[in-house]
Amino acid sequence: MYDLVFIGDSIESPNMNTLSIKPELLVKSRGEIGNFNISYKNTVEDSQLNKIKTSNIIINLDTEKEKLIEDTLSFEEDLISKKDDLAKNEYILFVQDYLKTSPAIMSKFGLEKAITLNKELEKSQIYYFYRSMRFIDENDRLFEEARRNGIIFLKYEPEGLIISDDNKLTYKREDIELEFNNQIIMAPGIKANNYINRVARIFNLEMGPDGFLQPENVYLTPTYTGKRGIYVLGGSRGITASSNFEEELEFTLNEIAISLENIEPVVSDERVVDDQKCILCYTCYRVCPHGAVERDEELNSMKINQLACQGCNACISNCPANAISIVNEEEKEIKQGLHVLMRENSAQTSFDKLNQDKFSDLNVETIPCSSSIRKKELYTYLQEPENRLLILGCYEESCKHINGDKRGEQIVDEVKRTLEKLNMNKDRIAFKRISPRMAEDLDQYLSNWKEGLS
Amino acid sequence: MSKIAVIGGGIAGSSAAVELAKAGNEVFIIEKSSELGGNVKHYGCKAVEVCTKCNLCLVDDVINEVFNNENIKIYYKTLVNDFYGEPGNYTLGIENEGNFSSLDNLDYIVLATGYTKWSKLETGTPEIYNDEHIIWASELEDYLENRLDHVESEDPIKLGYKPESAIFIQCNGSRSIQEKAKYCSKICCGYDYRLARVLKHYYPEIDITMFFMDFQEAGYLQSITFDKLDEEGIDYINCKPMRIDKLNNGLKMTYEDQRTGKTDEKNTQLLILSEGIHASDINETWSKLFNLQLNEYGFLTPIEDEKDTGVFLAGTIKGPKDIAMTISDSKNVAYRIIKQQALNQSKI
Repeated sequence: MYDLVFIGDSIESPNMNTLSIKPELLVKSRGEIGNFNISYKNTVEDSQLNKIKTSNIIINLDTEKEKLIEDTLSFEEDLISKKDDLAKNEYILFVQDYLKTSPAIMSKFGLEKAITLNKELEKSQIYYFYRSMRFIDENDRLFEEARRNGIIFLKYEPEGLIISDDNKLTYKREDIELEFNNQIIMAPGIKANNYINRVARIFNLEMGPDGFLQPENVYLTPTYTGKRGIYVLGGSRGITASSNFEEELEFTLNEIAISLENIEPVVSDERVVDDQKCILCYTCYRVCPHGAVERDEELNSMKINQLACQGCNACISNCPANAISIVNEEEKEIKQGLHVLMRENSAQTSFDKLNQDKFSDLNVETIPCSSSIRKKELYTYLQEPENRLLILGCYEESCKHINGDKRGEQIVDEVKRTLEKLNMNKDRIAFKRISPRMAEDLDQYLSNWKEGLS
Repeated sequence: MSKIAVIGGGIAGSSAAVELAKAGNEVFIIEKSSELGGNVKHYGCKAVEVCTKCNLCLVDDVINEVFNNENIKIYYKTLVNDFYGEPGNYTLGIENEGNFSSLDNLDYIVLATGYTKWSKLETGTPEIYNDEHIIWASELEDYLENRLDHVESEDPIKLGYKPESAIFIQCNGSRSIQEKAKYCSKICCGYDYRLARVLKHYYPEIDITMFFMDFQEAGYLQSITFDKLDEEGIDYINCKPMRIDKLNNGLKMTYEDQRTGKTDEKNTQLLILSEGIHASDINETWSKLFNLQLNEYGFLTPIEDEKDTGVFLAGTIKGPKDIAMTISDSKNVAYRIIKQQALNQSKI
């Protein structure tokens, strides 16, 4: 049993038993925090599988760097070994932010390289073109040192810096116009690792819009993924993730060290699949934002890993066979009148800040996530003609359960359409998004809604 | 189990306290005001159609966790005015509205008294800054606590008027030798970008310009880039304005356009000044009381190893950080203490 497996480069982790697996050799992952089962090959051609167990996983893949222009050098190359060739240039041209704004780590590399090269090459003048200098670590000091050492910094607007097909660089700003035909050293373009899709599929993780792992979400900062025990570090997470690498690494290793001592379930009530009812349609597997659902080969049914489950109930509300339930869940009695279902952490936090007396006539319930709501249940709420139902979920991209808000909204929309078809008032049900810092807004909206205004 | 005093009940202190209490320690939060939450306690949500990841949601979660944890005791309106003893057995002298007492037998101290906003220190402010068209970014953040997103309103963010234009000045109180802050505060690009998006959300026609020196990555956000500003239709000009003049219904900014090298003018109805993160004055007291190093900007660093002294620093007391970074830094501090406890335990 390993404490920690790195997918990609390994990092020194004191007092932990670790292993590193290349992403291209990874085949399969099952299980949950404290007990992941991983299969991998020794070489890509190999058909033999190694099987190991680990408590935690860090995905630490480097980004792919691409040259933006042929026949240029990169900030990341070993420039000192090329110093004799470079010394032939009267001017050396450093360029960052070309086409796209470069991340801070590239400002750091560029400044470091320019300073070293400046010391080595006595006769060449270094020009450094940039759109914005980004300050992390020692960049402030490096920037100052570089200027003191005589490196010339020139800011440019997109139209103010042109590199022609034969690598001639023209710079225009105010009344200055400069033209160079010299060696260009550029910040590379940065893309997600080539194996990132493979890794995402094997671990059942979400991809962000830029092709990196785990879409941005405040609940997942700095290195969490939707799945407990799996962390994304550095270049796996985005092009700017390397800027705070040290802090993020310390945080992640500390979290892991604590989990190795003791792992508690996030929710106290178990969610279980009835293997007699399960039809193995994999809906629960697809909708679970926390990768907590797997197939149980022995029972030939899906099962929920209790340590991975974070209690959003998306599996329960989406199961077409009605096979998933909460152990010991009490049957709830739905009263007549006005009902408000509030998402804990977001709307509920705002509601808790209000004068509750004003809303004592409302039937308020806390729900773990908008994705908990079941269509069938919503009709029950609306059974009596004077009943109305308001569901308060999270803003898009701020849901602790990743996409719960969207699922909730979809279900409400479906119910609305059905009501419309039946010639019933679709406004008896509403879905709104409230954050924990919108108490005033919620106060006024709820007061209006109560009176039937909106 | 240890007795631990956390000085400061802002994001840093609260985050550290929660982790320490979860590990079974007896934690005392000493807070000078009557609320937890520190500088950001009354900031509002900056979501537009989607969340803009300002991380305030995390702050409410942390504060609620403090309230729900039985191992944490909070002392409101309380100041620390004495500290003595030795590692593993410290005493803090505290004062609550004129009543003096002490907290004894403390194993660890976490100092988390945060930063001061530049708006509170700014002394060279010209009279014109009292103009209703000029506000500090943190004032706008506070207005947003009362924003109306689900209710029809003429004035959804309580500005008192409908702005047709807005200008943000970046790097105000940062990156300036005169303002004793040569450093970048790291957070202003991020909050200005979010505030600009909120303005666009309510006033789609608004004309927004940012005066900037450099754009930063701004914390854990996927990076503020020129492309993102273009996407939002935000104009950006690379300089600090030279002059601000009062007009009938707004302000006139005079600046040097570095694209053309010429002096230019731009009128605006709303001017939002960013505020850098500055060291709190109390850091000087702490440096003497707890034997800590005060750096050239007034932020603190330990002189001796925190593990030996048992006095730890968390959050922006050490330098600029955004909300998410403050939380992870403070949790790291708590984890370091917990690790140290385990080590001491194994020695016995």
